[in-house]
Amino acid sequence: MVRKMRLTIYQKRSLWGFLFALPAILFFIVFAYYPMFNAARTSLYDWNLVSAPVYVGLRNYEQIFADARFQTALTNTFRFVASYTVPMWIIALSMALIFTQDFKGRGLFRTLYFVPIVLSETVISIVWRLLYHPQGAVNSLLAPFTDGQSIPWLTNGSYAFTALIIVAIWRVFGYYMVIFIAGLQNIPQEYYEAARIDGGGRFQIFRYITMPLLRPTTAFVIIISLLNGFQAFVYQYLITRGGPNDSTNVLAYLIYQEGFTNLSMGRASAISMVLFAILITLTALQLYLLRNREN
Amino acid sequence: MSFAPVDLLEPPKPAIGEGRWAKTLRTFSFYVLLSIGAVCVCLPLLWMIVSSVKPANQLFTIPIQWIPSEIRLSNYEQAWNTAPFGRYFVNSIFVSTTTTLLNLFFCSLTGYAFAKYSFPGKNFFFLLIIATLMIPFTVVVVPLFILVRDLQWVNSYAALIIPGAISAFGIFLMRQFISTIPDELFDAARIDGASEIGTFFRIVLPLSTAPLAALAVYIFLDNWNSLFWPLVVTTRDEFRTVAVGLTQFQTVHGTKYHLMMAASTLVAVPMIIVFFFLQRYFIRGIALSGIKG
Repeated sequence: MVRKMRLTIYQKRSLWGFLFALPAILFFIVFAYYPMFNAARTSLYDWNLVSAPVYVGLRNYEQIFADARFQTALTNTFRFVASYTVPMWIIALSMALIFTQDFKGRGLFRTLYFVPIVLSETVISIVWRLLYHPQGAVNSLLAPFTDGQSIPWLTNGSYAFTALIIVAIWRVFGYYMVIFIAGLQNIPQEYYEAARIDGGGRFQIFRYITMPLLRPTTAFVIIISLLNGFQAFVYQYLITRGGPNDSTNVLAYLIYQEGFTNLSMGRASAISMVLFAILITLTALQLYLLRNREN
Repeated sequence: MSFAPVDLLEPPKPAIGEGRWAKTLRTFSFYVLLSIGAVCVCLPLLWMIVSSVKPANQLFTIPIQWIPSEIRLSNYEQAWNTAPFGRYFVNSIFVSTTTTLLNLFFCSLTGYAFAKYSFPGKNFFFLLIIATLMIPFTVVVVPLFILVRDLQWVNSYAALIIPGAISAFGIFLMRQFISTIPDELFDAARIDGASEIGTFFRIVLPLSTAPLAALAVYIFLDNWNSLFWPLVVTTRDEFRTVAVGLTQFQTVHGTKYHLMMAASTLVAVPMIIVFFFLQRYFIRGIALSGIKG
């Protein structure tokens, strides 16, 4: 005789809980873990999507590391991240400090500073590409200071690099400013009052009250902006096409070129794995540093 | 406490009677600086809108011609007819809305499971999901494309919607919020005969409108603005989103600058209008994402 299995009310409830979570669990296995595993596997093959994949061991890695284009893109990625994040953090935090003061028109100004983040990277890239035109608006505005010489924004490597940094900072500082504002508003006013009564100067208050209490927000801003910076793609793709001469090429754009223009799935995956190694190291390092500081 | 940037301009101690003057000067220079900043930030946008109604030969001039000699609204008509923008808009609206609704449903359902239920392996599964935040999109775009191709989803709404249907960040956010709902509410509903699914619809969803609104704005914009993925999985205008369509326009009609600006304006202006109306939710959504740290 088969006895019908009876679940207690608690077992039933936990079964429901599991069922609620199940779609998401399956989803992430299929759309995150399986592709991640597949990236690692594909990086060991030579495959153009058409003919059968050929196992080549680590040859894709050997090739990319020997490839001058990859080296340029790798260096550029680090340069891009370093030169856009640091100034952007400073601007975002300074603006946040201003916008947590009380003054008339605060809401209006905050909204105006925030506008670029609402526009898609696609739209702003298309607009900025024209702004950087030899006779474009940027050169037009700079004309009084450059003796009428037009700056080769997109045709000279180092200018093109700077041009992208400007766009990147211009678009996102408002976003991080809002995050800093939220963080600053979470600091209880009593701390400031106490510090002022104790005769703390403005800089001392910033250094010993604001900065330590803002640490979780700062950590978040740093991690997210670095992760986004390492994955930058749209500006390179739409404003400079990685050029001139790969001077603005970065890993994400190289992945696109190798994978979807040259159809070398193996090489594209190998580059993806290098990018993954960088990002995971970075995140681990940051989490480690943050943990140490908290103690 | 006075404003930070004004400190630089602070005059030596004002003599008696000059206090008011100094103060006015400070306020004045503060607003001047702030306005210069705001102008710099908004100028590209203004240039785009002005250029969108200019004749083709008036875009690149030194100095900039801020007031066009004639206002050509026909640029818009021409841009609209040069590429199937109507279709792009329908696609973008459909894809972003569906993805958002799927996210709201699954993120809150999963968040509910992890906040209020206990089942074997719960912590493991939660970590499994949260750990995917460490798998950036760019790293998996190639294998994800291969997967979508194997499923024969290239050029389909499924390819545009399903890989983004559930967000790990959304689950985290919803779990944090739902854990703050008192257990007594659920017990009371159960005593009243609510099923487990009933508690989700009757208690979780109605009480979570604030984080859901923030999540909705965040997911919608993310999808609306997304370029890399739609670019890779669509090759036909039928399924192209606005972002991809605009990119395509730039590639094909790269020299029709005035039309390009008209097209960009068409894409940008709805977003700006939506932003002005939903600003509160938008900013709250961002603030929320920052506080999670």
